Amino acid sequence: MAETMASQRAPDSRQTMLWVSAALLPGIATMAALFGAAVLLNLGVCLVVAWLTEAVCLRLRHRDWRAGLRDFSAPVTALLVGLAVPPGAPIAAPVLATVTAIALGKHAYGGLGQNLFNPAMVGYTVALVSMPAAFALWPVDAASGATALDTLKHNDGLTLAELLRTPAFGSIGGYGWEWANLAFAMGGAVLIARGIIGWRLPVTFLLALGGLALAFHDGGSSRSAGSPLMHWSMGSTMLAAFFVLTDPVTHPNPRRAQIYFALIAAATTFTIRAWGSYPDGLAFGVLLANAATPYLDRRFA
Amino acid sequence: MIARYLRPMQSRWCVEPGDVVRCGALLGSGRVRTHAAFTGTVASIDDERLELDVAGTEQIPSLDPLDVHSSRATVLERIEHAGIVGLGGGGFPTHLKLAEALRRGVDKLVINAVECEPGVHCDAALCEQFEPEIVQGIEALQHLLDAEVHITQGAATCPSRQAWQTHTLNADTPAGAERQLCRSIFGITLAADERPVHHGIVVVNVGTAHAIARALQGWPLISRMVTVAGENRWLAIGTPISSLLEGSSFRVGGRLSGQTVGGDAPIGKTTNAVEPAPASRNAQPCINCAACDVICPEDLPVAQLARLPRGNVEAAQRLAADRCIECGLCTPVCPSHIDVLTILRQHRHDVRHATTQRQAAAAAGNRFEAREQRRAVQSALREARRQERLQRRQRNG
Repeated sequence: MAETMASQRAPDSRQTMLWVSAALLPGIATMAALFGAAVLLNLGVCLVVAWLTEAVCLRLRHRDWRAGLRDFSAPVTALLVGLAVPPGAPIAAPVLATVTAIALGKHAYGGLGQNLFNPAMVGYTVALVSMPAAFALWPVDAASGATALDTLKHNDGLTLAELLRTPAFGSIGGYGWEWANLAFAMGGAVLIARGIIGWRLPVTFLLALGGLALAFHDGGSSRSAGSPLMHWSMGSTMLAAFFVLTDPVTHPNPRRAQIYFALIAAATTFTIRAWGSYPDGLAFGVLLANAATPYLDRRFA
Repeated sequence: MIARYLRPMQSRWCVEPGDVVRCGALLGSGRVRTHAAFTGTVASIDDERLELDVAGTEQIPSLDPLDVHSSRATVLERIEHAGIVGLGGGGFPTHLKLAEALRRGVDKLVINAVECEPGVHCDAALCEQFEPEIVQGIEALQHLLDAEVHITQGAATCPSRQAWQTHTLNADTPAGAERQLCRSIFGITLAADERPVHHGIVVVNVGTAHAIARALQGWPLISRMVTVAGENRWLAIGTPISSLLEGSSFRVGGRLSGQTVGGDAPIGKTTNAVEPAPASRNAQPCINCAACDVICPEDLPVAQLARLPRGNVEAAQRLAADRCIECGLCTPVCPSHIDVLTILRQHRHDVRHATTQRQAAAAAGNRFEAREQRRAVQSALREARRQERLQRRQRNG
């Protein structure tokens, strides 16, 4: 046993990144099936821009850019950004989000492993507040329309049951999103099974989000903020829970700290979803929780 | 051949360059004694090391044989005079450890033959080849401490007697570390600032027991068993590693907790294994994956320590760097190929150094205050006597 431990190579950072990318594939395929090839176009743009930005930043920082590109962290960031930007948004949106993610989100902090915030969420958020119109519309059933989250927020006169019949909704959550969320959750389950991410963080986050939804469900009345099932299957919930919150660089390590971390993310997300003015609160939830990481690490070490 | 000796902490050399020494001669004394393992001429001396130009390699016992049933003080003194330190790797002076055990009183003596590090088998070879001496050493320790004997062994078999309890353990690293032994044998979890002696336990490596038996026969600690690239050899302490293996740098210790040393490093008292140094791997940035946190047997926040810049001693202390047992499990699990153990060792060293200095400063402060008090009492006494004399003179006058 001891013999094998020493000889056994730990999974490389690079292999880890490849596994994370592979686990995103079912979700990507589902999104492409729902929203068309524009999803893949977005991802392609993000990948190319991320690769270029990474190379330029490494050069500017006088690092070996060939070696730096080999760690595969930039493609993962690119995939996350690409999935967060609505397909059909002007090309400036994914470009701005990706450049910001890599340059400001990662390299400005000193490169891989040094960043305080999740780079993909930094990029997404900067693009979101810079060009809100591009992010407001997701294609619904071939026509552009408001997302389920928007519809839910801006239709105070309707009960949940009535809302669910509007075209923005599918059978449970947003139109088609339940399938995308299911696919991302499956990918997440693979990562947990492979020991690449822990189960504690995503599970706590999802339970907290569901708990808050339950508390404000209000019997499905017109004032309801949505059911737990709806929140789990809306927007990028599963993507954030399994692929963004679990970024090891930006979450705390002690177990109890991870619980608080997930609670902060869930509470912020729910607050913005229910009463805020942005389409989704996940990115803000993640960033706020990221900001608490140094304190949480210190407090529970 | 040039044999080299490193100066133990709080000890000084007691020979001069040019001195001709015989095997077994005292080279250094103080907290730990150092003896020449060869006959030769002292070539050079500096604060750190002594170089001996070897003329003869024949070894002879330089002390008088001692009866196993001599008084405790005599046996302890012999252990000190033979320069015995913990041969399991810790290197703590054995006479100090046993003296503390006697002072506090212990009822359990653990003879540790668990070799949990891959690449180290020297204790197994020792158990196989020197059974009578090991039994004699254990009996001497039992006589000295009057404690119940527990033998712990892993893959290899340690000599045993009916009255002794033998525990065969699964030798996964760090099963052989004393904190882990206390847990696995007695179910005692030591608090952060506790050592086994606080629970009436003293843990002695089987090699140390063997060295004690040899000391009673008249041998100072001048040889030991070393696993040289997988092969066990009985070697004189001070032997240059470069005379055993090819290469310009070597790994001393096991594959997990070993350290890379330069080409002129010698076999020391605590050298249990040597191998050619592994190729160094290019470290990538830490991504805080916490694989090191998860594997750490002492539950230290390893990832935080690994990311902590050296010199931030206060933070290292807060993160309990001094509790690291240097098992080395953290390095092979790192996906970024970071030499985590070396970073932890530095933090641990810095924290311990700072603690020692603080204690020394506090002790000096206490001594100063005590002296001031003594002086105040003395001057008050003097003043009182002077007054008394004055009064007497006035009465007489």
